[in-house]
Amino acid sequence: MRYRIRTGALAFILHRATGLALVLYLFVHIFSVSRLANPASFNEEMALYSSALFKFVELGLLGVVVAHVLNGARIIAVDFWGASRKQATVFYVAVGVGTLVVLYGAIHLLPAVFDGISSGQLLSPSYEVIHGGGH
Amino acid sequence: MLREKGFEPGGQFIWFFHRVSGFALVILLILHFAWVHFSTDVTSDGLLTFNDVMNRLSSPFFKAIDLSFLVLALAHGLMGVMLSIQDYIKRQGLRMIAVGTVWILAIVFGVWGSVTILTLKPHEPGTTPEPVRKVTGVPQPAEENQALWQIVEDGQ
Repeated sequence: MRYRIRTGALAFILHRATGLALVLYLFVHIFSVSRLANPASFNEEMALYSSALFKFVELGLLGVVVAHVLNGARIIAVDFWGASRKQATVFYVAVGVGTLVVLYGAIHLLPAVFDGISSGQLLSPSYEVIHGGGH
Repeated sequence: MLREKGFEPGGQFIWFFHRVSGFALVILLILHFAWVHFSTDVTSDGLLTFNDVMNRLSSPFFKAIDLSFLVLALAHGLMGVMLSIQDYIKRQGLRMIAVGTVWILAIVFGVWGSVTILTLKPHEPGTTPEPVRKVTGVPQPAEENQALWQIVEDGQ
């Protein structure tokens, strides 16, 4: 282990796994933003992202980001401020804050997910894109 | 070998930079959420379209913010990948392929993202298709009220 605290082994593995997942997300994100070059395809992509399945994936993304950010904060606290002796407290504070943030996200995202499950339409957008007017 | 030639990160500076860039990315992420998901997305009609995104992203201020976000995120993330490679891939040939792949990914996605950010132009009304968006998901309006839920972009 690279970190001084031995009990942080689980946190270390979690940090690696979430970090690698976020790198993959970054590649997908660079691809999706590059589609701004074509208005029609961008609007259709945004419509797909409004579907139930993608809302659920977004909630997972929020969880992954929050876990990585809070564990990163824990690493900084341990490395720079010598918090290794209070690492159990730091860990519980991080879990508490993380749970609150993910719950806040769930309140906004889960209604659309449940709606998609109950209607059986997991991949259909929550709105239609109709290309009209303008030109 | 790769480490000595400077192709793999390591040492005190990288250790420090990983923490500093991580902190900076959290600040940028909070700003990103405030601007993208709470100003445009929520306070307008809740639906993100080409015109909304383009008008914001094409300002020089956002180009500078987004470029630093892109470079920091790629550097921070791919440094993490390099550290994982150092820990788990010990065979020299395999390590060279892995490190080379990371460098290629860094350059390809760095250039691709930078070109995307730098070539964004402000939206000119009438020059791009203005989408009409009909809400079909939650909240679901009654069949006879469907027409009321037609959201029409400005300029229509």
